[in-house]
Amino acid sequence: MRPSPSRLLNILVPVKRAVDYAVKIRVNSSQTGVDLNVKHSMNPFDEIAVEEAIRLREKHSPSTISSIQAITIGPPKSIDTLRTALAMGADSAVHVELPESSSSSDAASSSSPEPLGVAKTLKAWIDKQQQKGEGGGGKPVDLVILGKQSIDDDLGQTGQMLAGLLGWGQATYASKIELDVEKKEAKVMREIDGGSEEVRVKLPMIVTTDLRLNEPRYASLPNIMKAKKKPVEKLKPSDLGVDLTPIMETLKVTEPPKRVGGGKVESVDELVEKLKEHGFTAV
Amino acid sequence: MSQRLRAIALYKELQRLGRDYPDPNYDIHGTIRRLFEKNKHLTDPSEIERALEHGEYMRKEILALYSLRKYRHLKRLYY
Repeated sequence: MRPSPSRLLNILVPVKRAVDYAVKIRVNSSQTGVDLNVKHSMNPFDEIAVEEAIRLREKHSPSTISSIQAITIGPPKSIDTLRTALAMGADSAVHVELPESSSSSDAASSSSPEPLGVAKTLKAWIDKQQQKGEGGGGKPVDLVILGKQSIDDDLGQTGQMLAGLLGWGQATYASKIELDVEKKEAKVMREIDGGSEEVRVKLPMIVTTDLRLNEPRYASLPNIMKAKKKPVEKLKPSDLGVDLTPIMETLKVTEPPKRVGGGKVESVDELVEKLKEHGFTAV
Repeated sequence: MSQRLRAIALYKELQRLGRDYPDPNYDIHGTIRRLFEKNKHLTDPSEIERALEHGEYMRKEILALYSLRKYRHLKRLYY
């Protein structure tokens, strides 16, 4: 059972260094993945997550939300992603460092960690904070906001897996979050196929962000300068007792077949002929 | 903050934003430099103020361009 709600809330925002949205994706030479020698930036859905954490703090008085911590699991270059999160307004950051891929020619081997691995790492971090407790300098996490999916892998599993591992409630594809600090719960509007669904979840909980949640702010140059002074903790996966070796192997990646041009027909009879040729029969 | 410092900060900010400009054929860095150099002779504070405000407006326009472009791309792909 959690102690009484007199404690301030801590928000954890996992972010990912993903291939930039504007890059034209190409399959790499060995057909095992995508060419990763391109521009990377923070996953746009993660930007929305960071923005939401900051807006929640701005909305509820600054004294309600004690800290916003960004965390990333990735190669040394992922520190840039953390700097962006800090520049947007996060207070501190954690970098779980993975080794840089050894072969630079086959850039596909340095693809991102798998969602289950990420979820296990995040759980290990959250458990560590819980164990340390308030007195030991730990920050027990009340809310984890993640992007719904990353734009390079498009897996969309990490948030759900983390909720499962922790046994916490989750509200995915959130388009609106209302936090009730007194009652320690949140009302979230979810985007589903039929429209939207409103759910009420008790804290601690997981939220994954949909595109419609907010419009992320731009980190101005003064903020980027200020972010350089904010603390970044560096860890290895072994420090958290997590093994991030992939359990899945990508066998082959190919481009979708090129679009063939359509043909024009002169009359309805010709259209019917063509349809019959392709195997379409009258129902 | 003095007008000179503000002008320098604005210039740096615009140049940094120009790095992500989507059109590769448009010389954004050169254009920013020329626009600033065109006004470097100004002495009247109110005129300088107007030029700075115009610069701020351009900064907001560029930011709006970037965020709209990103939003439209994501909406097309992930609606």
